[in-house]
Amino acid sequence: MSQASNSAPYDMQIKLLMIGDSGVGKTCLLLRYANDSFSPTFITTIGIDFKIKNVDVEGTRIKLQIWDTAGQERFRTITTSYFRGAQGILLVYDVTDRRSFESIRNWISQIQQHADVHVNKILVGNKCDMLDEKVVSTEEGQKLASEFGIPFFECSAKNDIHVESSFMHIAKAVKDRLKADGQGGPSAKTGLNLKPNQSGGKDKKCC
Amino acid sequence: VINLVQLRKLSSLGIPDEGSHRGVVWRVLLGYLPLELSQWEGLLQEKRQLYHSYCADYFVQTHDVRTGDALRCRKRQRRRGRVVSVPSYARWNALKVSEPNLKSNDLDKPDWKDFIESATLLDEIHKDVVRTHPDLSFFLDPDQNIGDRRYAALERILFVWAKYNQGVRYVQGMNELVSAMYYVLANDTNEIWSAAAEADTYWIMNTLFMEMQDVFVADLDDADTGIQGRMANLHALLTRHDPEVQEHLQELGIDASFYAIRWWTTLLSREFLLPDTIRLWDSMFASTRKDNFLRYVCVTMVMLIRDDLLKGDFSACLRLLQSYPPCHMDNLL
Repeated sequence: MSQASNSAPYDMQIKLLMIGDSGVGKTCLLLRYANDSFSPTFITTIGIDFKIKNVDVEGTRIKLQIWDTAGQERFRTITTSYFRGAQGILLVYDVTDRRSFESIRNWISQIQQHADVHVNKILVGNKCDMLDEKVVSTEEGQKLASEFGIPFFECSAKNDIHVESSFMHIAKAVKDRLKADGQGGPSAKTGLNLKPNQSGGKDKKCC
Repeated sequence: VINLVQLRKLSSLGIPDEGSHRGVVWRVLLGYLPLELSQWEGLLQEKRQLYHSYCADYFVQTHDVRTGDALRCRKRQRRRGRVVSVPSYARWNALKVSEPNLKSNDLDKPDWKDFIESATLLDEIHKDVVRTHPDLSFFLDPDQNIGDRRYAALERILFVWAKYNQGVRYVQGMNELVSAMYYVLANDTNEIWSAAAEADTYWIMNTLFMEMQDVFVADLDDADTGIQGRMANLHALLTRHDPEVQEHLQELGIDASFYAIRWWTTLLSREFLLPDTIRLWDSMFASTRKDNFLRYVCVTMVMLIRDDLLKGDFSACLRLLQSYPPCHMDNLL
């Protein structure tokens, strides 16, 4: 279902959502990806923000609509109302903040409650440039991702490590799923897709 | 005795930046200072002392950053090989640790639980305070760490308020409100006033929060005075005044909550440059119904960009509303 907007034509629109505890760097990852910029001086997200990025994934022109949410518990009921309709979710924690990693399980159960069943997910450990302060090991991140059968990346918005590849990975996963479901264009297959559509996480180390 | 009606009228036109005008008028308009001038001195003394005693209850009285009992305790815990999820709170303000805690290593004891709860709260506030107006020289000034000390003051104000208002606690966005008020009070050219900026900011913030606190409470989201209630109200007002724009936004699937949650919870302080916010607040604080004032300003903001909105698709509209184009405050008011 291609749609043409006046400035940027695209073949497919994908809605992505970024969730995770306050201060893990969701906004920084998004700014790095969408604007290719990093500023150590960033501000708190209140409610919800969003950015658009047009990308080409294997010849498909995709308009990514990326929603960036407030991490604080108080906004939980508000942010979870945006889960519906999201096609991909980036779960973000901070490798220097163990609590943010421990919260991931809770975020996953929020997804199970509020998001679409087939939503693609990806686990992202941000701030991997801060080696001295890193308290969540790569292995732990990998283990959790494998447990839920989702891909895992360690990133640094600051040093621009694996940011682009994380977003591209989930964009491609969503694209492939939608195409397989027959929402992506003429070549799409029909019928039920019963095999798990997540490729159990690949080991992506960065630092 | 101050004539409040007259003061409201004058303030709504904008308060002069010079001297102590704004700081003092805000204190009066927000109901912290009484209209009877003869009562000021006694009240100020009492309230300021009270605030400092609140702080003394929670914080180690030290100006030495990165030290304090709290931090030492945390290190001791780590040495004993226990994993304690106590965050890096002790950057500026070190929390007091009670005697029983110092002697005990049992983290399940009530005193320790209290401490960890406080530390978690302080850490939460700290994370946001460091990202409040991070480009404002007021908070960057390296001279005698004054910038950091100002941040530390914001942290104390928010922490103490959260402690005394456990039903509301700390909500993201409060940092923006407090920073603007503190900025005004601390920039008073009269040292008698500016020296008490921290304590006085606490009290004017307290009166303001009493009025608007429902928007901060998740359990009240759907109440008329809760955040979603406010959004519904805004929706209704926009429908009344500009049905065309409202219909357009609705067709695109843009709900008021996509952009106006921040407008409400920060009293628009994130949408404009600080001097404009302050000018806007002169009028808001001068109005007898701040919530009414605010919802009309919000609707006006939407209507001022209506032509662009009507031309825009989902992304264009949302971009306009989430990063509001620079506008002249006089046009808005």
